[in-house]
Amino acid sequence: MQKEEVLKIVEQCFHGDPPSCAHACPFHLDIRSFCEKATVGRWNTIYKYMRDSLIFPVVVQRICHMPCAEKCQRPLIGDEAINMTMLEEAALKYSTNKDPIKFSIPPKKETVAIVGAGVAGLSVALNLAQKRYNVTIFEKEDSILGSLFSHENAEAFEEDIKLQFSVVSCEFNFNKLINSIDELSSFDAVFIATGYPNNSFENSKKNETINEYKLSKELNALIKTYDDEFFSTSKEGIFLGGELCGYSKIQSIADSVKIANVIESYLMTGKPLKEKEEKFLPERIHMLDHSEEQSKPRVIPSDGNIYTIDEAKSEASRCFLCDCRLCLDKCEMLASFAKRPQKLAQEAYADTNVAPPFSSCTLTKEVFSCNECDYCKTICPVDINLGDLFQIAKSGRVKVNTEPKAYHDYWLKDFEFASEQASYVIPPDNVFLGNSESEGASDNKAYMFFPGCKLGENNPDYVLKSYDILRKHFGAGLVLNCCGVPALWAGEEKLFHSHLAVLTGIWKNAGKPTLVFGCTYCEKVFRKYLPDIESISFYSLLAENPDLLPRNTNFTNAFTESPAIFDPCAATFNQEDSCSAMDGLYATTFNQCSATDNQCEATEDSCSAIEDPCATTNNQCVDTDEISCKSAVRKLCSNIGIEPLEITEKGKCCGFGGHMRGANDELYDKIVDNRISAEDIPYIVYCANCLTTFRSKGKECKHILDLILDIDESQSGANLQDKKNNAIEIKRRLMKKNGEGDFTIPANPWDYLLLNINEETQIYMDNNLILSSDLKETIFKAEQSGNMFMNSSSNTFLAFLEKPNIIFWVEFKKTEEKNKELNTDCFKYEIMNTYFHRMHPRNEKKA
Amino acid sequence: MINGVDMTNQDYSDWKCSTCEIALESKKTVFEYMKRSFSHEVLCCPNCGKVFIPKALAEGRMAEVEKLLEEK
Repeated sequence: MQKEEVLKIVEQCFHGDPPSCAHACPFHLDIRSFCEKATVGRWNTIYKYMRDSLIFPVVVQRICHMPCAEKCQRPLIGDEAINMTMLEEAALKYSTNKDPIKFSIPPKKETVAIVGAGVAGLSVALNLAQKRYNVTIFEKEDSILGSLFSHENAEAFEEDIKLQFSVVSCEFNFNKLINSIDELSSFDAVFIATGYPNNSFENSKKNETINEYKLSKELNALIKTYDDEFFSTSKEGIFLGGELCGYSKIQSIADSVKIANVIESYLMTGKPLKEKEEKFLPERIHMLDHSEEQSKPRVIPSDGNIYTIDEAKSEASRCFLCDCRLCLDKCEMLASFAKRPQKLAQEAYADTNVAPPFSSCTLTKEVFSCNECDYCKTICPVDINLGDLFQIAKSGRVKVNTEPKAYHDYWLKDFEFASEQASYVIPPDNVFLGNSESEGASDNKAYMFFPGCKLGENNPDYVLKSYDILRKHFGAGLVLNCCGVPALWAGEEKLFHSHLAVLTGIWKNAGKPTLVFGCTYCEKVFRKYLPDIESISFYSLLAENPDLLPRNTNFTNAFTESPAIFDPCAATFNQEDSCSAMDGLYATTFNQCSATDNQCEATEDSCSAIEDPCATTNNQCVDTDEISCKSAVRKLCSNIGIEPLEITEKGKCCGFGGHMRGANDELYDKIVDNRISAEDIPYIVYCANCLTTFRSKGKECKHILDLILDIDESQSGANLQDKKNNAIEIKRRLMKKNGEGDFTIPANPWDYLLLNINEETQIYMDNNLILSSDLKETIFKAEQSGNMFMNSSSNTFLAFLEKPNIIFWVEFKKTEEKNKELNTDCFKYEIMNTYFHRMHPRNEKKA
Repeated sequence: MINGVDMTNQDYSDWKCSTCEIALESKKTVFEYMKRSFSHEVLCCPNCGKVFIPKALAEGRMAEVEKLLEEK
């Protein structure tokens, strides 16, 4: 991928960009940094900001009318804007070092004449003099300041200007009226800013002669040819500016940098050129959400005149320091790495071009810690999906074989298991029977159930009972397979796409049915990568056809207290309906409905808004026909008498996403803990992975299917191995029912080993993605190969097994026992300990 | 000493290579991970060269180094 393509993903990100106030400021003063420093009293620093941006800080402070205030974001919460005029005044008063900086650069030979020593001419003169051009100023009066001469602060202005000029060399010619441009023909460039008595550019266009300026006829002619983009005229080397051209004094000073640059480019190239504006484009102004900020009124100076130091600090502290940090603050992963999006993009790209061991990657941890949940995109004001960056980095590294293989080793094996050993297809009835004769088929749609690889692993009933319903009522087929996302998350794009081809083949062979998804992430993968395949959420189908469900009694006792629904991260992506009523509802926290008093008649614990969301905004409802998965689950709950509450922050991943466990266990634990402690109440989930993740940390949690189907909870897979066995069990039962005989997976010689694993070890194994079959294989192979150590005093053995990406170690005791199943004497292995590592010792076997 | 763990103390002196049935000796061994290699002193069978890696080492120093290398 090209660098530009990667950087384009974060192009719109405005983190670090100048905020709205800086856009409005004619000088684009970095107001955010100014206020940040002013809050802690760094007066000398902010004086420098002022001097560097405002050119004549005393003048500008006094005459600027504060356009920044109109774009200040404090008024968004009802407060007055930051008082920059008074803060600048405080900076001028309290700064102790106002020494201008002398630039030591070699002198230039070009000469520039400035006509008019008002602030317009002076600011351009200063800039060119700083660059060591030979600047000569011609002023018809005997002093500087032009139209500011009569200002009440003229003295302070003069002092300020003299201070700035004190470190440059510039020739001043007072009492020198220029009658014609011809007088200045010896100069390489001329800038005329003579001001205008009526301050009106329009007047000069009307050809009025002004008797004060004998230059006016010539000047009028020049003005007619004025090009305001380059401040130039038809006459080469002659530039105009200031009030002469209708600009305000403030604008003239602000433009001086641009004008000086145009003149310089003319002097260097013979053509006036301008730099393209990149930073301060109007489309990059963004107002942020400050609704959580505290209101603070504007500070009023106690002496009615100027802020004291403390008052100034206090006023500056009112600045929000506007900068978008939504994704950085709300996503645990982004917060933990604290890299701005633009940097992440650059590093993501750089990592795809790394060649170890000469160069190394920068972004490994972040890339493999992403849940790929799209939450950042959901909250980003400009819809940036940082997960896309990480996906690029991952697949880029896989292409050059630099990814840490250990991270996804388990998950890829898991994917292989689900797509091969545990995979199974039952075509839909409709394919063979034509018009479906199954009862309840409302449309002649052919359906095929795609439960996803994890649903059945948790409990075979989730798949079997669900499939029973779909088979009975729709003649639905079934696909037991993985959607391929483990390959995608591992960065294995080739593998992922070839798997998608397999799935497409299955779908085609089945007659292109509508797929019914038991997992929202599977659904997301299909909608994104196989959009031609029609899909529907299983839960939407059930909600649309409530008669399909067994007549259950009230489930209000299923939980210890009123539960909340935890929507899986992919449900947000899949939400197709544009029901604004629903969206507005989900934004409310539970027990805090946004309906006004006369709309809502509910009490605090029986909020009817949640029960019947459309009641709040009925006239805005543009609901589509299909019930979204989110709405469906809520409807299913309400049908059985459960009124679930809503959690505050929706759309975040439970922690499972991206298979980041294995890459960043610390962050994984933190994320899961945050999710389960977000609300003190039990959760209803409708994703098998949310279920496993939350239950493993002891959260009271049920799958929606636990509530609406008759699920035998004793079949729940307690540990990883049980879960794998459940997947096989489902296939075995279905194949038997189908008359395809007794399915068994090919046996390994170590399958028959009897292990006794204590609870602590089992928990360790589940947390580290170790199956009991891994231990069996280790022991079996070690006993054969001799890869073992023994401890004679404790009578334990320590076996190890080297696999490509992991090395298992198992410490065990061996006892002889009768194996009831095989009716032989065999060994029983009591597991004392198990652990693993990833680096390989290079064995040098001695003869 | 490896990461503060005295490899010659009572904890590991009872361990022997199961095939050679002799005591283990500390030896500088080369390890490889993520296309980089480095050496470390670990207990090995002086006869067949089998490397003995106790849990403390695997979950301590080794895990630390693996993490560092993975992040490169």
